[in-house]
Amino acid sequence: MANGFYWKLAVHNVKNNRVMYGPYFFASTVMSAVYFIILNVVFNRSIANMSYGATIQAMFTLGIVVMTLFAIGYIFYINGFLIRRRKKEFALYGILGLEKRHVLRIIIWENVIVNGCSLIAGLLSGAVLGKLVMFCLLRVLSTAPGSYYQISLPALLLTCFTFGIIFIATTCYNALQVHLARPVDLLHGAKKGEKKLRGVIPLSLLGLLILAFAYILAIVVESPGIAISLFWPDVILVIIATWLLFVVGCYFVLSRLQKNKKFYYRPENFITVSGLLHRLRRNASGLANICILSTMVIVTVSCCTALFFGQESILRQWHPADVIIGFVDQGETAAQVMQQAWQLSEETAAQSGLQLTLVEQLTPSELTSTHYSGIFGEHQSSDYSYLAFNVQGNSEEITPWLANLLSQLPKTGSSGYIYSEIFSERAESYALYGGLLFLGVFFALLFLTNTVLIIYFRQVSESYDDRRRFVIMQQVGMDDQAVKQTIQRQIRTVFLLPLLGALLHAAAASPMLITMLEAFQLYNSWVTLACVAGTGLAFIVFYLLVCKLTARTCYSMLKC
Amino acid sequence: MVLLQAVDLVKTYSGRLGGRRYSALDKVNFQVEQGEFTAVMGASGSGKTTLLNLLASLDKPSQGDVILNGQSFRSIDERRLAAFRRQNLGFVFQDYNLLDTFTVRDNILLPLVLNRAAVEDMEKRLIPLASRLGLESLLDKFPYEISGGEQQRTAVARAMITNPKLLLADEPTGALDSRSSANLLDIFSEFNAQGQTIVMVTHSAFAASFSSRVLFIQDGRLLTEIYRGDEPRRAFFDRLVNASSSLMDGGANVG
Repeated sequence: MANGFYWKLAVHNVKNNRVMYGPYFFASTVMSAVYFIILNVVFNRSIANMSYGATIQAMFTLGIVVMTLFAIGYIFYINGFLIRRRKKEFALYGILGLEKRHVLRIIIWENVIVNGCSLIAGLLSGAVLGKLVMFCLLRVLSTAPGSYYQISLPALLLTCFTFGIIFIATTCYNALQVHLARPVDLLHGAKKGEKKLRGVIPLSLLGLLILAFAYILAIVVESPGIAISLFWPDVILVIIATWLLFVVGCYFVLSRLQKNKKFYYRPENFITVSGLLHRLRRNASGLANICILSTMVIVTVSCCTALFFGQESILRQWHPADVIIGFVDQGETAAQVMQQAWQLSEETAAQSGLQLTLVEQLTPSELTSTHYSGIFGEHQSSDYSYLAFNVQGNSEEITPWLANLLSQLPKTGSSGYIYSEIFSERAESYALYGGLLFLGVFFALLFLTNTVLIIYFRQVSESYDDRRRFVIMQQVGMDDQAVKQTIQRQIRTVFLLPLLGALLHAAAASPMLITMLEAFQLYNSWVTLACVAGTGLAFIVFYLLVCKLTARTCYSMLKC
Repeated sequence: MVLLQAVDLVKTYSGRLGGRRYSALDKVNFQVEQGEFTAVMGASGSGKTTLLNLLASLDKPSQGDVILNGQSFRSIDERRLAAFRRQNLGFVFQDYNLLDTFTVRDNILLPLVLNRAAVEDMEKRLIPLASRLGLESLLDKFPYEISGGEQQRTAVARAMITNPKLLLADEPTGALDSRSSANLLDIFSEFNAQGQTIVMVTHSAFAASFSSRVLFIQDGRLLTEIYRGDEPRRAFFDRLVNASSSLMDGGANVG
């Protein structure tokens, strides 16, 4: 048979399965686009030449490693989901007389079409959106010394290489699935029974205990250093607990409800409880995944935003005033020297169009240890007089003015003066936290895309089963309205559980996040709390919107 | 006493975009007496399932009416229809239509729960019915854990637990092997002997031979009816096979 036949069949299949392939295509497009953009930033020369550009690039390189792992895991996950749904179709091909190698050819063509298109779409949108992303990045970093977006060949090749490998791997996996498929099994392989769960009570208790332990750990830990080293173990504990609680905990609660006959045998509870039990058992792992991914989104975004919005507070920790100058003890003339220096500063500042406000002017005897530790660091041995002031005005004028001022300051005595200024550190901090925020947003975007897709696939597979139940219940004598309501109530409960779980996790994690961010000198816990709360709220809105949209898509899909 | 009456039932389906009209039922009239076991026989496409759906109030006739126990289906409000169905009718389908989220016990109890029956009352009804149908040991299993015959008996129990005025069965033996079929039909006969009115739709002369009267339907019209009288089942079966082959060009199935 001619190759054109397989090609046509593959195109036909992709078209017919667009409900399933569409989201897969979308997911791999988004992933390859983000991957491509980040790689372009990594390979960008103009960024490397930027001050602290190296910091950003190092961070992004680390990001790429994490992303690669994530992309592999995720694409395999959706692919597995797709292929499981289509096993029956493959069996049918076998029965119709197509040999396995023929089916294989169809699958290869399908994968080439879907993956090729998504890679091309990803690269194109990466190239186009990259400009916008670069613009935003430079805005966030607050520095734009002639940087521009350029598409680099290595980035292009590396993206193609990575995703090419992933796609080849999924194709091999699918081929293996076809190879293992036996037509008879598949046609008869109707519903698999649900195994009885064992050890429900001890496992539920274990889940609760682990969760409580993880929460308490997150709340009581006080030292930032310990918090950072405990963060990942704690995350793993929470993941294990979430899994346990979703898989056995819900089962435990619902089967308890089922045992209470007076409660269970009421029309409102009867169908809802058993329906939920059924759904939760089939979807427990998917729901636990949604919960964990959602928590990751909330935690990542709130940390990054907290650091970004808290960086002024971090900077102020080290720099109570924009510029601080300390003069080595001048004895009787100390006050005079400082006065001169202040006048000089004001005069030069006025010439550059800047305004100065005096914060403090202290003689050595007035200086306290707090002044020392923050500003002079190790120079604590000798006595200093202390001049601190803030600067307002055009930020581009500040650096030349400051250099000029420092060169003009009177250098009396042997060691002259020492100084500290906030501006260069601010630039570095923007590079660091801005870059971090940026990566955070990228990751959140990926996590979200994936959360959305898991929700979508769950709902699609649910709604097929629901349709059958819907018809039966009507025949047994339930009216349309009631059937629709109970099914919707179940779906709502099923999808609200992970959201509630994620919010609870995030709330319990916030004390730990506050402590951890103290390691970055962010002592303003309100910033952190506000960021967690804001992210949580935004996430709730987004999540509910997605559930509504996908539910609507599913129902309209089933109707026609 | 007449329990069920079909009056001039017409059901037409129109093709898409008002294309060719297709008539599934054409002026069907018949009556079912209280305590009768009636079979409706016909080949596939003869309109027998359409007829059953109308009798079950699952579908609305284009013209005509169904009257159960003096109550016209047309006079029942759409919202009350589900409750009416639940309280007066029991169904058994070809593919069992059990809910796989429920155990056998809960599948059987479903109509009672919807009727808000008391828990003690449920138990009282369930135990004798289940033992009669040989389901006692299966009550806590799920539908996918038991055989087809057992699933169909569960469906019968679900239909019978409300003590319906009328039991409707749509090809109840269609998916069963011959032993389970005979077993199920014996159960039907037993229920009938105790006064249960049954209307069963089937294409199989074997299944129909368990009834007391058979209506033949073809192309949406009732052709004739045959009463069993005091005849033994075997003889009635032979008569049905002869009748169906002469009436319907061999459209009926002997099995």
